[in-house]
Amino acid sequence: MIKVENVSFSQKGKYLLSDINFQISSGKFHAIIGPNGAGKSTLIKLLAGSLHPTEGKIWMNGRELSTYSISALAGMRAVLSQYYPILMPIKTEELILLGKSDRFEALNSKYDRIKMLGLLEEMKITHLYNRYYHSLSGGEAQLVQLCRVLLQLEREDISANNKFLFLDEPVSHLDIQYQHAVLAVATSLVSKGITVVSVLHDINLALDYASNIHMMKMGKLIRSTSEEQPLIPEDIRQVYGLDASLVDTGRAHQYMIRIHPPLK
Amino acid sequence: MQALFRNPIVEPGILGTSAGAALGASCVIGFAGSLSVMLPMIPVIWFQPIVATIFASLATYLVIQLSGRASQVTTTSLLLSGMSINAIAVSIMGFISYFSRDPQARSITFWNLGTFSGAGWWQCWMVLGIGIPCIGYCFRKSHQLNTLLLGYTDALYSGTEVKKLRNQILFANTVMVAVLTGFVGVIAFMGMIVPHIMRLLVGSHHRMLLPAAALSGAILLCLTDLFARTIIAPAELPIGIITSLIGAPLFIFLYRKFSPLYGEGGIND
Repeated sequence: MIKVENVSFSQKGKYLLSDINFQISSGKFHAIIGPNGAGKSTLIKLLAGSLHPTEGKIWMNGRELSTYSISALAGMRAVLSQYYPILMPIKTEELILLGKSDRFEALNSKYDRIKMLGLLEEMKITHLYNRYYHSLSGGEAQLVQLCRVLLQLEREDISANNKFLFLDEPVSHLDIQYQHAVLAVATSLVSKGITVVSVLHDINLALDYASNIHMMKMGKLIRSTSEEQPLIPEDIRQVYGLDASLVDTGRAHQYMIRIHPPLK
Repeated sequence: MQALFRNPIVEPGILGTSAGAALGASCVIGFAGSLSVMLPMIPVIWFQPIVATIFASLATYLVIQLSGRASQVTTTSLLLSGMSINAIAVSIMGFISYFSRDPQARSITFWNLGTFSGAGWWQCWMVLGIGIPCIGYCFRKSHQLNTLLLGYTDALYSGTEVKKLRNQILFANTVMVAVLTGFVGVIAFMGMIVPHIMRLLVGSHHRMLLPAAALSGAILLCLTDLFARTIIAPAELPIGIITSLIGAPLFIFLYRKFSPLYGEGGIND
């Protein structure tokens, strides 16, 4: 579980986040949504520990986040960003193995290899395994990166309930089938007990996959939804300033948000 | 180095390490007489590597500071600050050789082109003694170096202490290059070409790449040296002339041929 207590973050005198308070419950899929510049990515970076709050505290698994060492943190949480420009030629396989824990061991340790092959199989991308990374399409590349990140979370001495996967706009530039492929893998992690926190742009993807949606606007957390208090059209009006209605898709528990374009 | 700056063109020549070391060594050659008067305890032969290391570290430090924080170092800023520091070093060297007497001036020029003619067993042991621990250290860190391919932030996410790693590798590298340059002079292009070729042959994994580059670099240098010693025998050509003459066109050829591999920083869609 992560607890965010009165967290603010400022850079050069400008507040990017102010007074954020919320909890991230374990074993759930959390989505963070909001317009550009709302501070979603900054919040993910604070949660992942690459930025530090200028005020307030973040607690991860009962300890303050900044007290963990870099390598201890690497076993507990992994981060997938939007995309990765890589300037050197590298094989898919080598890239995925970058996610293994840092030990001085044989070039291809059997243990990590078996895990990697298992993950590739699970994600149905075994055919990408011998390719060069730069020859992959954007969607394939993102799945390969996801595979690397999952390998990082395979450490056995930490229980799944204490592990986190942070996704920073993981699907924004992908085709629809890859958007769902990536989020489906994330959902399968949730069923193993791992907590997923993802910044998403598409409100409907958030509705489809997340059990809790945290809405942000101008550096503030506006509202967090839960199963008891789901998203309502009024939230969309408040956060994005757009008229919207909830549409029943006809399938059980599946609603979607329809945005009504402003009339001329 | 190329991993550290996430940039396939980085080499000690660009980072100012070579030029700094060259300047240090030139100072020693130029002022050898007065130095040994001032500090008679230390044999002159010790000065060259020590002074070269100090100057090389200084120049490298300056280049990196001038090109901004490492997380934002771009190719352009690195090239520009490297170029200016190199130019300053070269002009001071020119000044020294202009004012020194003929044998010294000649030895500075010769030395700037790089030559093995002054190398004996004593220098060889010295280089081995410093080089092996440095290479060994880099080798131990090969997994962490690999993670830098992902970018600094994501290397941090996967458990690499980026700042610490950067300082340590830079230190090891500067000492290694400076001592070597202090003995044999500036041998251009080896530091860029050899890792390039090896990257294409064995991949970007540093556990393979580091030893491959070190060994093939040594072999290539021996061959070039053989060529340099025999082509105009009984005279000897400075080896740096040959490495530049062959290395530069080879570099352009390789880069053009394989440039799709290095992309423009984006993912091919």
